[in-house]
Amino acid sequence: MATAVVARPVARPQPRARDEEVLVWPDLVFIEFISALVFTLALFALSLLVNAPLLDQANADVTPNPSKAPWYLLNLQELLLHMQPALAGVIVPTVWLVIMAAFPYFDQDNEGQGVWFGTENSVRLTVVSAIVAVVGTWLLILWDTGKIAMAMNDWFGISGGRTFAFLENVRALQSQLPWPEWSHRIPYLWFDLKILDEGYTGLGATSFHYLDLPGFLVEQAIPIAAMVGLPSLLIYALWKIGWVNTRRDAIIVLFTGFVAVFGVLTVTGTAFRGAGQELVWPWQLDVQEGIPGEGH
Amino acid sequence: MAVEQPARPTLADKIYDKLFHNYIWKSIFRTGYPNTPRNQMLIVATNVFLHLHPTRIHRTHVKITHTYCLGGLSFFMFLGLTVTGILLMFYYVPSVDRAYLDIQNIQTNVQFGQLMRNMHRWMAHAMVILVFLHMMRVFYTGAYKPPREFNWVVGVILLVLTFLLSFTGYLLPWDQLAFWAITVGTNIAGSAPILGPKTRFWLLGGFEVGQESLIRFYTLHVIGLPLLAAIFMAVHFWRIRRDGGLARPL
Amino acid sequence: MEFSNLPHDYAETLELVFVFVTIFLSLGLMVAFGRWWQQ
Repeated sequence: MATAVVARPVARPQPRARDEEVLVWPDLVFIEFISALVFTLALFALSLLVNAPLLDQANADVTPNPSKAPWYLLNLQELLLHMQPALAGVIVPTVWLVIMAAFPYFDQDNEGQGVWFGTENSVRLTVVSAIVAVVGTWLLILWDTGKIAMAMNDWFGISGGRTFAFLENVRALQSQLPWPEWSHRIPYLWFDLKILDEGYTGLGATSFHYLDLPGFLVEQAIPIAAMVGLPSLLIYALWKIGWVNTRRDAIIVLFTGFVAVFGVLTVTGTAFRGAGQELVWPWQLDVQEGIPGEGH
Repeated sequence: MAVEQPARPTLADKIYDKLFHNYIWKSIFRTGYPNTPRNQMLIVATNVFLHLHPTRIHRTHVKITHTYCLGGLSFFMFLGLTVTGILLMFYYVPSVDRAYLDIQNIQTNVQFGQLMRNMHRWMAHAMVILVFLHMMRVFYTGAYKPPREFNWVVGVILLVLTFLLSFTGYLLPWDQLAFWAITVGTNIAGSAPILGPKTRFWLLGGFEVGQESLIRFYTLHVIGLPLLAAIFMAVHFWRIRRDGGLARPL
Repeated sequence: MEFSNLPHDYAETLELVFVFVTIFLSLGLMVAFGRWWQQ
C-alpha cells in the first residue's frame, strides 16, 4: 500500500456494522437465483410465442419508408427532425453523456445515500420534472410538426393568416419571414476553412466561412436555447418555490428530465412516425418498401 | 438409567457418506454443505464464481425492492447472450451472400434454431433496458456519491458499450431492417463535425454499408466489444467490493 | 408449438412493447416473491 505523501482528504469506505448484516449465502444468492430463473422463464416464454423479425434480404436499391434506426437510437433520430444533424446525432448525446458522467463530481454530499429518494424533496421533484418533461417535449414535438397550428385551425378556427405563418413551426421562422439577402451569407472568417476535407461525405465537407443566419437560428440556436434554457428554467422555477435546495435536487430534476425526454422521443420515434417521418397515429404506421409503382 | 446411545447409521446415511464424503467429491467441493454459518461464509469466500460477493451484506441490500437485482440481471443477460450468441455462431457466416440465408437456415433447419435466435434478440433488448433501469436505480439511491464516483463513470462507459454491442449485432441478419437501420445510424455518426466522415468510413470499412461493414461489425460484436465490456465489468465489480459493497445509509 | 411472426408494419414498435411488458411483468413477479419470502 503506497504511503500518502500529501495529506489529502480521500473518501474512504464506511466501517461495517456487523449487527446490520446478513449472510450472503443463502439470503442474497437465493434471491439472485430466483431473479435469474424468473427472467429466463419469461424470456423463454416470449421466445416461444413471438419470433424475432426478419424482413426481406438487404437491398441497397430499395429504401423502406420510413427507415428507422434501432429503438435505442430512435430518440436521436427524432431529434434529427428538429435540428441540424451534427447537433442532434453527435453533439447532444456526447455532451449529455459527459454531463451525466460528471454527476458524482458535482454532487458530493453523502446525505440521503443508500435509500430510494433519501432526501426531503426528491419524490416531489422527480414527479414534477417527469410530468413537465413529458408534456413539454410532447408539446414541442407537436408544435414543430405544425400540429398545434393545425389544431388551432381545425378545432378553434383560429388562423394567423400570412402575418403569423412564421409561428407555425420552427422551420417557418426561416421560410416565412422576409430575411434580407445578405443574411443568408454572412462571412465570419476571411478565408474558407476546410477541416479534414474527405470529399464524399454525403453531407458536404466541414467548411467554415459563411453563416446562413436564418438557417443557423432555426437549426442550431433555437434548439440549443431550448435544450439548455428550458431545463434551466425548470430548475430555476423549482428553486424559487423552495423545492430545489441542494445540488442533488438540481441533478434529480436533470436526470429525471433526461429519462422522461428519452422515453417520449423513443415512443414518438417508434410508434408515431410513419412514412416520410410524418407524425401519425400508431395504427396508421405503414412501412413502404420504396419500390416505385408497387405497394408492399 | 441407560445412557442414550447415538443412533445407528441407517442405509441412507451410509449411501450419503459414500457419495459425499469420499475423496474425489471432497477434492472438488472442499467446504462442507453450507448449512452452518461457517460453511456459508467459506463457500462464498472460496468459490471462484461466488467470491464476487462479500460473505456478509447489509440487510437492506438483500431486499428486492432495494436493487430489484437489476445489476445482477444485466450481467446475467450478458452471459445468456454470450451462450446463445456462441450457439448462433456455429451456423452463421458474415458474408453478404450467405448471412441472410444462414439466418433463414437457423430459423428453419437448425434444431431449436428459431428459439435460440428469438432468445438472443429478446435478451439483447432486455439487456439494454435493464442496464438503463440499473442506472436509474443507482441514481435514485444516491449510490454514485463518494467514494463511488468513478464507478458511476465506468457504468456510463458500460452503457455506451451495451448500445454499441446491440448496434453491431443489429446488422448481422442482413435484412432490410438491419441494413437500413445501420445506414441511418452510421449517417447520424457521419454527420459529426470534423471527425464524422472519417468515423463513418472507419465504422463501415468503406463509403457504403457492404461486405466490409458486415465483417467489421461481426468482429466487433463477437469479440471486440464483449472483451472491452468484460474488462470494464471487471473494473465495475471490483470497485463495488473495494468501496465496501453497495451504498449504505449513513 | 406455433411461432408467430410480428406484423410487418409494426414489427419494431411491437418488439419494444413486448420486451417492456415482459421485463416489467418479471420484475413484478420478483417483487411479489420478495415480499412473500422476505416478509
